[in-house]
Amino acid sequence: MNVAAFILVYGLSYGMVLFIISVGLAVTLGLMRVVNMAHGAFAAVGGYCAVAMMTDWSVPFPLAVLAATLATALISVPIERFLYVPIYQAGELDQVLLTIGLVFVSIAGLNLAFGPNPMPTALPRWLEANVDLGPLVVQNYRLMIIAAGAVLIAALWIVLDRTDFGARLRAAVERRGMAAAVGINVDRLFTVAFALGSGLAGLGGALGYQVLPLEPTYPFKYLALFLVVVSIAGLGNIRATAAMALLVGLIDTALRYFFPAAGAFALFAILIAIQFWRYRGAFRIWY
Amino acid sequence: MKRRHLLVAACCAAALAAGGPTAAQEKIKVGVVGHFSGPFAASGKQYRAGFDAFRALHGTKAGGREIELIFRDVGGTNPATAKRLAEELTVRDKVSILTGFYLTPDAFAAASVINETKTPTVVLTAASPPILRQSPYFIRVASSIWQTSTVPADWGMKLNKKTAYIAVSDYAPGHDAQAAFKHRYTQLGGKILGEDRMPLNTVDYAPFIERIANAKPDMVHVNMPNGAPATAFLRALGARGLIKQGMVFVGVGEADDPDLPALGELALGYHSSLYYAASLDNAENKKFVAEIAKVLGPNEPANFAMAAAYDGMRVIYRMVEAQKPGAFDAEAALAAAKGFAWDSPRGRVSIDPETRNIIQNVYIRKVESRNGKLYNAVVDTFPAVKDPWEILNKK
Amino acid sequence: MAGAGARFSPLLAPPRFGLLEALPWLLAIAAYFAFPSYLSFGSGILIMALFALSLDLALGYAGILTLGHAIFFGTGAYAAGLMALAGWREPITGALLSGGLSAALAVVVGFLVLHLSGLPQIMTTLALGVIFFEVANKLTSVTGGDDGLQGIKLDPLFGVFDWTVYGHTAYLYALAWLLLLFLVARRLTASPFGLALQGIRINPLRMQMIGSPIAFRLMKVFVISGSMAGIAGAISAQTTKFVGLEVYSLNTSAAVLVMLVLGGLGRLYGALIGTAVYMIVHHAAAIADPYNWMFVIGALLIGVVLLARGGLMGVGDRVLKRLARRTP
Repeated sequence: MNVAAFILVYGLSYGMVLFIISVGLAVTLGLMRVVNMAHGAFAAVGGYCAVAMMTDWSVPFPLAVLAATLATALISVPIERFLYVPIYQAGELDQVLLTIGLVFVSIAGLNLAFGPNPMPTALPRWLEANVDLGPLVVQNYRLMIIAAGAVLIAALWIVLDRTDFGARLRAAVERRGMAAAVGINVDRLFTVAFALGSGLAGLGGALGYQVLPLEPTYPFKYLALFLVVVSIAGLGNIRATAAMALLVGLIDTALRYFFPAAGAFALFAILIAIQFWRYRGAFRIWY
Repeated sequence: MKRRHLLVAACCAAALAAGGPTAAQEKIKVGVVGHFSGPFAASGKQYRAGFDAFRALHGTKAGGREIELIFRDVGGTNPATAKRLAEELTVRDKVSILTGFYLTPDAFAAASVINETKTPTVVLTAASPPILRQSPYFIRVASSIWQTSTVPADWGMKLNKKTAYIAVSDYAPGHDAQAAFKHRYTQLGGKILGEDRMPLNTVDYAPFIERIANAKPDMVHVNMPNGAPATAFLRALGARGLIKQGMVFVGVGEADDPDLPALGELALGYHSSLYYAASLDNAENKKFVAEIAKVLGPNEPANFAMAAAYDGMRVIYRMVEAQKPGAFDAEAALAAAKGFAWDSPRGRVSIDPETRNIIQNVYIRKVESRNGKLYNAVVDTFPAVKDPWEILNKK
Repeated sequence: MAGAGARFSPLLAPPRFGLLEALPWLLAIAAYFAFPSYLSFGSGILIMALFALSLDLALGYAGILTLGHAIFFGTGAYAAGLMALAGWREPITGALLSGGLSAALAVVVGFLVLHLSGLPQIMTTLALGVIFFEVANKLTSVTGGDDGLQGIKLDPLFGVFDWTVYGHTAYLYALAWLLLLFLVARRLTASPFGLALQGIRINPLRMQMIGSPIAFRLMKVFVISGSMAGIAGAISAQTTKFVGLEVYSLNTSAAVLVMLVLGGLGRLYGALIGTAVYMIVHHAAAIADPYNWMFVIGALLIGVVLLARGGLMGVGDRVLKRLARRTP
């Protein structure tokens, strides 16, 4: 019973961090069809901003996280205008290459600004405190993340499925020309969506800085993880991304608990299996 | 007149004889293979600080010859690069002595080059026991993993901790630590409740901490690399509050003095078994710590890598002092180092002439708070520890 | 398909080996005499150039998006290393056998990735690369784990040329392999098969409609590419006498991709030029300032995609074109 509770709470909280960061990638990749390898860089920027604000200026945690998210979203605007717009219509290879270049630049930049050591990871008192849930004693931090994630899922669903903005965004992605013809400002829409995706990454990086420690190689280090979540979920589907992120968090936590040695690559094996299954149609046709 | 001529001639002769073989004044080049960028960049900075501290106190000359240091960067987990750098340093830059080698794979990879070029090498912190057998030119100054991982077993049994858990990172030094501790602990009659090898790419250590919590051991032996893994592990540990509950955790360098400010109070009570602590109370250490403060500033405490570099430079100077004028004699250098004993910031140490490993004290340290600042205090000392692996594997 | 992607190269008959083409090879031989103390670094460049060449066949010509090509490089390296340790010390046959093993591996991997495209293909190759790395990390008794394979010794080349730490034999050995396999690649890409590959990359649907056996062609090029990468890995193991886990790492797969793109995709020479430029810049920057060279490489990549279409070769093309226009 203890074990199940442990896996549930820790798996969910880890999964939620993955979700919050990956959902931004689901937005850029899925809705806007851009292979954004630099997504981890935005998460890192958000995390670093938040921690720097808390350590250097003693900004309280919620404010720091909010400010970091907004900062990341703002920073993403000029980057989108100058670097991403030219490659929206380009092939996947170009997108991969440009965004990898961006990753390199961001790693060097983070090292220059903050040094090569991991950032201090002290939590504010109220998050560090433990709460007794009966079978399990858990840090408030973990519960906060689960709550934040749930709120986010609901908010995103409402925005994307129930608002004009969401409808216009989905239209612009499906039929860019038609949407423009109908009077939708596609360029501005994409900029806003990109800011949304990057801001979400920054939020995830800021909220999750305890789970994913911040260091200059962060953008590259956890990239594979975010890509795995989004790939398994399939493109664009926010709800699927949420479900998959949580599932990945749970499975990973469970595997590390029961089979510590195998935890390292079980996830990737699952990814390969799922991709193979999903595209088995193509396999049958080609062979 | 004649006498003056004689005098001048005599002076000239004397001057010629003294300044004669200019080789005696020739520079000795020492190559340093270390990490100055990438995940282990901190170690490179620490090595340099240790070297600088020694040279500030003892000058840049040994035996009348100027010592020049040439630094090369491995840049990350890449033993092939370490090997290439060792090649470049010996073949192109023509160094007489090599040093550095933070990671075991770097030392292993460079061994063949060292053997082919017959270059005495002062290995600093690469800690795997078999390294020294790869080349007769290796002298090790920091420690072998078996020295630091068997002492916790002795110490634990001394305090009546009859059950233990082993939690190490899944890489070669972790495996070595696991083998060493297990061997000694079971030899002393202790019971191992569980052993975990945690993958290096682990992000969330909570599952592993939970496994330890459920096993309820008296003590836990840990071995992880500094930096993100150790930080994440200690975070998860602190969150679960296991140290507060009385479980004793004995690691190696996870919560070293430079890392403590970032870790904060969660590290309180964490023990480690290491050959150095900045708080050691001896004359040599006081000088060393003061000099480090001058080199790095007051906010960077002295640590084991700096101490190893300091002692490494001492051995190198000894090697050079033992040289006769003329070309560099590798055999003479090795002979001078073997059996060399001196007072280090770590206490009295010596190089074992048979194994070429260092014989030293191993200290059990504990993270405590003094005047609001965290530091590693020494709570027990195990003197003159020889490498148990060598004793076990006597050729 | 613009940007960093390859242009369509309509060569059918292999043209004569012109003077401009001979230039890189002459430079390589000149370097042997001009930089005798940099030979092991030079061998490293030649080995990576071969690896990049193999990737050019798969990615530049056939359009297979792979972030896991290190799978073949690493397998070739460990195969050659283990063979030498087991007693098979003849280098050339060792390299060929390693290449063969990598080719077999390519068949298996091909069944998993070749029918995919776009992001799924990238992700699957990336995931495979991670799995190979982790498995190699686990099988410490076979691969030596972090410490790697030690003590590799080889018989003298042709029974005569010794392998010294100074790297003379290693350099010429690597150069010979590179030249040989380059000629093979050149022949391959200037043939109808090469044309078909480019067609598959540009418009697979239309190729299917004209009855081109896509799956077979892709598998063929993938196997050739894999075996070349395997030979590159084998040469690496043989010349440095060491094999470490990094031969399987994501860094290796990503680095070779960057080198190729910088040089120019689908041009074969792009692989050589890009590798040389990347490694030399890296070496120089590492001595000057280890971290900030990432700035340079990142900026170069962004620049190639946005501005310098076709990499260095593309820039070279435009310069030559402009010069040709000037001269009447």
